[in-house]
Amino acid sequence: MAESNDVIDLTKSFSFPMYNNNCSSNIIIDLDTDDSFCIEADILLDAPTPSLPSAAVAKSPLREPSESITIVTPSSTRKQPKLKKKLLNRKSVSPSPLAAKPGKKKFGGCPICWDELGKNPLASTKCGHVYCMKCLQEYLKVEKKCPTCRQALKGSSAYHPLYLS
Amino acid sequence: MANIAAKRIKREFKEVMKSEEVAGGTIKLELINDSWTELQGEIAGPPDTPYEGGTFLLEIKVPETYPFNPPKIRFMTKIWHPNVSSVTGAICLDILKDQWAAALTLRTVLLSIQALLSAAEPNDPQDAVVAKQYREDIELFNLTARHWTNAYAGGPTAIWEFNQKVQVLLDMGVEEDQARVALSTFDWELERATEHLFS
Ligand SMILES: [Zn+2]
Ligand SMILES: [Zn+2]
Repeated sequence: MAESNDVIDLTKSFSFPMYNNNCSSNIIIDLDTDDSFCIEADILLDAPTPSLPSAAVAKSPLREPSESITIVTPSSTRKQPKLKKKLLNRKSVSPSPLAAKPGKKKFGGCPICWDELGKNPLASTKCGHVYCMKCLQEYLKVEKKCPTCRQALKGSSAYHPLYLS
Repeated sequence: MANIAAKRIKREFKEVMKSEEVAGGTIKLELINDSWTELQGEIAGPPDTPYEGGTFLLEIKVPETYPFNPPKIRFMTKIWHPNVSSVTGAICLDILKDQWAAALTLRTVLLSIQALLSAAEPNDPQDAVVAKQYREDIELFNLTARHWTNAYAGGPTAIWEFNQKVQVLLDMGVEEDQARVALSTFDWELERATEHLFS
C-alpha cells in the first residue's frame, strides 16, 4: 500500500456514507487508519487489494453470481409478469495491480495532486494529514477544512511545514 | 483546465483503468474530450436489486477547481430510484455536494453511486414521487424500477403488463418517456395517468 501512491488514503481512511444522501449528514472518518506513511516493505508483499466501501462490497456484482432465479410476486390484482433473468457474464476478478505495484516510493502521494510526497515542499495539518504545501494552500482558499478528514482548519495553527530531513 | 485538475484526472483515469472493478466489468470510465473536463462513467446495476442486469451511463463533468470541488455527475440512463430524478438524472448524494473531500476520487464516487442503487435513502429523496412509492408500496416500486431497467438500461426483465399500458398511451400519441413517467407516477393506473396527461 505504501508504494502505490495511487491508492493511499482512499481505501482505508474513509468510511463511505452509502445512503445518507442528506447533505447534512456526516461522513465518518477514521483518522487512525491512515496508512500514508507506512514504510515497511514487507507490508507490500501481501498487501490486500484496496478495500471497497463496505456497502459496495456487500452488494457488488463482483461476488459470485447466484444461480437462483428470483421470482417477483406481484400483488394479487396484477397479472403475473413473465420474468426472465439472465446472469451477467462476470469475469473472475484478478487482484488489483495497485496493491503490489513495484517502486521505490516511500510516502505515497499527496491526496490532492497525487504527486509523490516529498517531491514538493510539504505541509502537515493539525489533524496530521500531509499534503504538498502548495496544494494545501490552494485548497484552503476554497474551503477551510482538511481535504481528507474535513476537520475545520482555521487560524495560524491549522497547518505547518513538514521537513523530512 | 487548471493544472492540478487535469493532472489528477489523468492519474485517476489510469487508476480506474487498472482497478478490479473495471476488470470485473462493474464500472467503466471513458474520456469524452481531450481536455479531461468531460468523462462518461458506466456502472452495472448491483445484483439482488431491480437494477440488476442493467447498465447505467453517467455524465461526469470535471470543474476547473477539481479536486477542490466535486465532479458534477448525473445519470444519462433513465432510472427509477428515490435519490435520482426520474426526469433529469440528477443525483442526491452527499459526497457530490457538501461532503465532498479532495481525497475522494472518480473511482470511489462511482462505487458510492453504485452502492446507492443497492441502498436507497427514501427519506432524503431527489425525486419525491419515486420516494413516495418506495415508502408506500415497495413491491410496486421494485416492479417499476425493474421495468425502467428493462426499458432504458438493457435489463433482462420485461414487465408485460407495464409494457402494454405504455403501448396504450403510445397509441394515443403520447411520447414514450412521458407515458412511462405518468404511468409510474400514478401507480400504473391507466385511467389516472391518461387523465393527468390530457388535462
Ligand atoms: Zn500535492
Ligand atoms: Zn485531516
